[in-house]
Amino acid sequence: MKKQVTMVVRHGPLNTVRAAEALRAAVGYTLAPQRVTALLIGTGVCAGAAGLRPELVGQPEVAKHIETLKLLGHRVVADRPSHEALGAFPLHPAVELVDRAEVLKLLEESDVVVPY
Amino acid sequence: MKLGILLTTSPEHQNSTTALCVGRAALELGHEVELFLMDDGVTNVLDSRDNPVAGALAALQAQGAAITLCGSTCDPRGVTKESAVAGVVFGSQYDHAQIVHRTDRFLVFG
Repeated sequence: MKKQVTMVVRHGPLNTVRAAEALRAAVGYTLAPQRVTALLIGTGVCAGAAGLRPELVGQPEVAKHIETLKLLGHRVVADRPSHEALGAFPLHPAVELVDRAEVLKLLEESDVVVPY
Repeated sequence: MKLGILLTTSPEHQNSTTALCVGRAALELGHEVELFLMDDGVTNVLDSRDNPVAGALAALQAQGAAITLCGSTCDPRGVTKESAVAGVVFGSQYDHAQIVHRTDRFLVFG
């Protein structure tokens, strides 16, 4: 049976490797029969910014992981209240903006939640 | 029950002790325990006098826990087969995915 795995990305991509690592692990989760959702929340929504190039400040890129998840039929979602609080900047086209109620529903329906 | 544990912080963090205690308690109750260490978590296996966690991880392994590391995060942190506790597996995110899939509960310390 497929498990629903939700990776919660809580850190921005410019001052730590954790956002990139969380998304790398989320791509890795697709190597087992699992439905994977990467949830960008808090400062983590910055990882979903359009045109982001963390490599310019020596951090690993994140867009390739977001695009890979989308290509493989998995989801990358961003928490709307976090996004609005940080200035509602343009998001990568593969990132879906979701309301807090949907975030809660996603967490409730997940078999595994990985806060990272 | 099969219990999976993800540890992503270095041995100075209290997460290491907590994860070890949970793992030990689960083994004593007859559960199976698998640990996956990635990012700074891989430094927990560095076998040195400065790292008491390594000995505790070795003891946990001797009790039956399986310990797998993310190989690609070992390289930049200087964690090698020579510097690590014997018996740990240098794996990949594939192993991480399989642990998440096959365990009944998956706990994250990071």
